[in-house]
Amino acid sequence: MEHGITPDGYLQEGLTRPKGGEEGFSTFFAETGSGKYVPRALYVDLEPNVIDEVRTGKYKNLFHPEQLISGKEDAANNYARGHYTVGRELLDDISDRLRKMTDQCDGLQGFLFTHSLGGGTGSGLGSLLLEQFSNDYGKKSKLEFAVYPAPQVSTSVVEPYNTVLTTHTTLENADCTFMVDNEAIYEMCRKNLNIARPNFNNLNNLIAQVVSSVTASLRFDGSLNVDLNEFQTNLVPYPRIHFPLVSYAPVMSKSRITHEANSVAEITAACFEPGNQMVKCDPRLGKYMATCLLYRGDVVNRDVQNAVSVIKSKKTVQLVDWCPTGFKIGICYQKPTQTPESELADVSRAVCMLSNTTAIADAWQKVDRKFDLMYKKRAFVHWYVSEGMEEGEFAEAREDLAALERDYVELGADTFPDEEEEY
Amino acid sequence: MDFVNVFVTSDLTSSERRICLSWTIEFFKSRLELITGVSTLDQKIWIYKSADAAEREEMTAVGSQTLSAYNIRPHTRIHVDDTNAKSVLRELEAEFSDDTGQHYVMADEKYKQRRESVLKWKKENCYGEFDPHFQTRNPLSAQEIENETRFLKVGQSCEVLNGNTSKSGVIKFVGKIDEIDNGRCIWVGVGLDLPLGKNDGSLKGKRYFDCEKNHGCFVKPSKIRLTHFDPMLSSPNIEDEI
Repeated sequence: MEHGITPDGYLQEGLTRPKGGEEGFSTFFAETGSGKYVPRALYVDLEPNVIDEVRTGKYKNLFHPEQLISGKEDAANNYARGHYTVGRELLDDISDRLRKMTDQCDGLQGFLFTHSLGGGTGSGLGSLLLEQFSNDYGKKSKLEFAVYPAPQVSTSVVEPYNTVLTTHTTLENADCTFMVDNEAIYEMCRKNLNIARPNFNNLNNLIAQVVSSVTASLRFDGSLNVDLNEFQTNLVPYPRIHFPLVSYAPVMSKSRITHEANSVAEITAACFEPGNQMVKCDPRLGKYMATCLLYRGDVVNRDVQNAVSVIKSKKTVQLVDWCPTGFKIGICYQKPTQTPESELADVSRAVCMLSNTTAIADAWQKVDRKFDLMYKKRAFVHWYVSEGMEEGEFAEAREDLAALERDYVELGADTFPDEEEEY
Repeated sequence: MDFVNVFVTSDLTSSERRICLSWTIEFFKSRLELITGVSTLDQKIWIYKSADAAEREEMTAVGSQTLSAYNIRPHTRIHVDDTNAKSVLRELEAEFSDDTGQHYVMADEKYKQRRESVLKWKKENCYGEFDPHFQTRNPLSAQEIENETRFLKVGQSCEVLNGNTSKSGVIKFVGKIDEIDNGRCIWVGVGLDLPLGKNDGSLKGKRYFDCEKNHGCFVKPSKIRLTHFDPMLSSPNIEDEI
């Protein structure tokens, strides 16, 4: 939609070329001989229902049937099924179709994964594919958007297992993982958009805005257009620490928008509010290793510089001692586009903040703790063992996550005693 | 096919799921077990009339009957109760909500042996504490020390500020303390009027001043507010702040 493509893959009437120009646009779409544009995307699921909806839905003509891959039997919330038994059967098929697609790319830069960590397909098959891609495509960068378990309520009872197992498997294979947690987004929908009972459509609309902002620099021109690779280099100081926190502003309903100015200063400040974060944690208690601000729409650099200097002067924004990186700024002139059914108001500018903060370690601690309590009782472990998984993998994964927790402690460790402390 | 998205909830889980109305109750229950962890034998299933209403109907159909027997519309809530009071789920539920529980943290020794870790990386790159200049970086200049402490004299009455509360006492010591930060900053030792402190004027065996047990504390100069203010010692800067 942002590029002026209709749901069946052709240019909107009156356009001679896609918005954003062929160059940017071709990152995510390939042109066929007949002037049709096909997304460079694969949809994969172990069971057919969800993908059938795409096959019969509004965008059915946009995709080549080969891009939509589904199996017959789902993963039943079980990492082992997604990773070993059911998932493995689809692996060759997926690799083949992916190869066809990458062969059509002039300069393959990398892959963008979207999956959940808590379910069986997202965690099991997702990590299997990341491993496979690492084997097949070596060092090509792999970014993930991952739906992270919410701190309070799990989507399934074995979610802590799935999350720990998949994080362990992907830790070495993914270059950068942007996490969103359902609870944080539910709350955003309720508080900011006044949706009493948010459902997946509402959630997905919000996540789509984030994905769009993060990838905008690859698709459009801008005055300060920073390449995604550059952001990644900036955001990830050490390969294991690749989980930036995502914030987005403004998140505002159509009815409220008329009362708000949404200046650059306001939306920038809003990114530092917990209510605009896609993962529930408290960055005021952590330290920032790196921060990227991706603006889009009607934004001038001077306003951004002013807004950033205000943020820097705040005591709650603490940077790690050893890596005094500033704020990396990107500006893309294309303003955000809303889907017709979205509750989000149409705005002239928006910002997406990616920050690598030690506060996100909180998210793991909570999952690890649940994992420990369950694993101590060996609760539901037999579901995994009966799919051929060895118990040792649980312990190994948990050990890796424990090391990750220590890594985060180590990152924030080098401080002198704080002003608040008393002896 | 008649698929609908519904909310499936239990005491430990909540999620949006896609179900098919032609599923048999038996199959549906086996799905619910995998989501909620409640064994099919212990499930008590409630179908809420609407998403927000408290009004609900128990699912009593069994076996090969299908879900179409119930009025399940998009975004209906289906709640699963666990009738087994001794189930592992019930135990987990209690433990999850108990915040005092410890979780496994890797021991120092083990962490140091990891092949790849932030610790190793910092060592290799001389970051943070491994930076040879770390300890000497940003030492307070003589001028800064002078500025911070010129109004703080042993024997003055003061308050130790902590958020919105304060504790009254008398300044007993002003100076560097090796036991806290290798003598990097200036600390103020205060003998408190009430036993709200953390020590008796000594730290790790070294005595800085004398006071009763738990009446002593050490804080940064910025946490001190003098209570009997001597105007002769004041500077324009300080008056601005008052």
